[in-house]
Amino acid sequence: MPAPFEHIDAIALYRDLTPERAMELQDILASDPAAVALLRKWCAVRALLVREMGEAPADPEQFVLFVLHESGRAAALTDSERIRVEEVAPAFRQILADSPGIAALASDIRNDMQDFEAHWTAWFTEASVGEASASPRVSSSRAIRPVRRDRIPARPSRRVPAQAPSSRRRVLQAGIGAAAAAVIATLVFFLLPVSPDTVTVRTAVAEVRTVELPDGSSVRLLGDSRLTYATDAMVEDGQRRVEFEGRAFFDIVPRSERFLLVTPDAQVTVLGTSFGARTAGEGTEVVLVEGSLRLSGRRAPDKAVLLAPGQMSRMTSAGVPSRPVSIPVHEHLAWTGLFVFHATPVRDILPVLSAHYGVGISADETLLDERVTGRFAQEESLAGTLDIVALAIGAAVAPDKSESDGYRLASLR
Amino acid sequence: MSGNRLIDAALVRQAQEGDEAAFEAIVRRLDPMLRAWFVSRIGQRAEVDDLVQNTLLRLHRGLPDLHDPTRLQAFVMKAAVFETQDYYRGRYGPREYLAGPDALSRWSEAVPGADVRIDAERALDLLSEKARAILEMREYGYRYAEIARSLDMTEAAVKMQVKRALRKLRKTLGESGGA
Repeated sequence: MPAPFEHIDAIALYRDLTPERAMELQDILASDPAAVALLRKWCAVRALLVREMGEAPADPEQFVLFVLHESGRAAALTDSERIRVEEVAPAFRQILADSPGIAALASDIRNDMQDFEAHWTAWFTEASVGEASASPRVSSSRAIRPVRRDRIPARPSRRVPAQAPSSRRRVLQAGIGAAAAAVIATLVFFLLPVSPDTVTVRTAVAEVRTVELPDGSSVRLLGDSRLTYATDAMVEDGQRRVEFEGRAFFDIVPRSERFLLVTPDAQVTVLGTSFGARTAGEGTEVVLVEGSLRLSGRRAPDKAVLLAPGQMSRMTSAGVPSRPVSIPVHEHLAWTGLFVFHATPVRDILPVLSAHYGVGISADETLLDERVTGRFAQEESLAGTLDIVALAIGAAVAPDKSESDGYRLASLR
Repeated sequence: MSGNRLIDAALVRQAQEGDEAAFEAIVRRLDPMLRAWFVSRIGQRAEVDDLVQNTLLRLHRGLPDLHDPTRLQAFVMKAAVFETQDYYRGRYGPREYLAGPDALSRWSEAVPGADVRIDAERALDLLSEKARAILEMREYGYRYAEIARSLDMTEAAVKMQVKRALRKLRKTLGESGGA
């Protein structure tokens, strides 16, 4: 059964539902005239909003030209574009003053313009890097590409675009740096010897991908990360071996072969467990959720620590792992894009969900010390997550009468 | 020009006069610059190829209208921003309207009566500025992810604002419908 507020929430997002949710809504509408009336009124509100936004939604390119014109970049317009923009400018100015969303859009467009100009200046005033700089392509990292040494084409050595000069804006440096790094990474990827029959999965800066390993384990690989493993059974010398750099959450299935995760400075040995690991920053950091795990430095494998669930350890500059400490797992794994709860009290869960979804959530006093173990994707709807939490602790989700627009978990016991 | 990343006015003028080799030289210089910029805006996604291609296509079509060849930067910037806006509005990749507006059109597209229009006007006045901004941006075509980026919120919080807006308006809208 959907939570009580799901019905009205579906109407609110009626144009953006998955096909399954849209079908559910159609069923509700077919049998509930009041829901139909509410949907029609909601559509009327949005139609009125569009009317008040004037021509901006109907002609987005005209709106971009207007923003260019108004921000001192009229030189980018052709004569005919300039004449047309000057005709519509008074109306657009009024819309801009009255519509906060249109104002935010104008700001977004201006930001892109300024960023582009800074990027252009940095790119074309940087030292010449030769004709070859015009042709390197940043290959897409979306596809999982098995790379075998015998398939690597012979490539001439090429120079790659230089990175932005240090005096440029930080955001620009990040952009160009990422792009140049991607090009370099791609070339290195092809030019260095690669073990046969290995798969390397890379994620782009903002990409999140779940990778299923041959042994049935799964890895939620976050942006700008890399995972390399052998195809087939991925077993080498009696152990499952994976090389990793970046940020990821691992769900390792138990098997007789140990699972060895190798990072640039550490190795993690497990049998069956789930944990988060990231290599950015000072050194590899591991947070264990379930099972047990052994962490050691690559140079000093005998100086290892054992982690229990809810503990964290980090590689130190001395190349040895820090003493494991108990931490709130959900806080230390927030970067995974998951809500990770391991025997987490409801009183700790509610503020996390409340902050993420921007809505008040409360619970009966008797429920606050109930503990929940589970993982939820942060992009999931609040309704879906709250439903499962409620089910786990024997509660129902209801609108919170004491707080406008809030929700309350009410005990069913 | 060999060995130089700069694009001077003479080269632009040659391209405007129909010199294909000159236009190709411009494209060779712009391609990696555009690629790096789009990657910096949206990450290393498959759509970057199409964004670069379509920006260069716009340049090819618009080059004859560029009166001052020294203004190439502004011209390319305009084309790139057009394409970026198309991306933000979901014109690249799968549409965000997964169900399609058609699926619910028979329920939602009836012409509202005068009473509904009055309700709507009253309801619109009650929207918070943030909720109104989100709804406006969505009607403009921005995907929720882009609205969230632009307003520095999470996507879930953006959607929650939309839901809260309807729940708040529900009373003004006559207490009809809903759970």
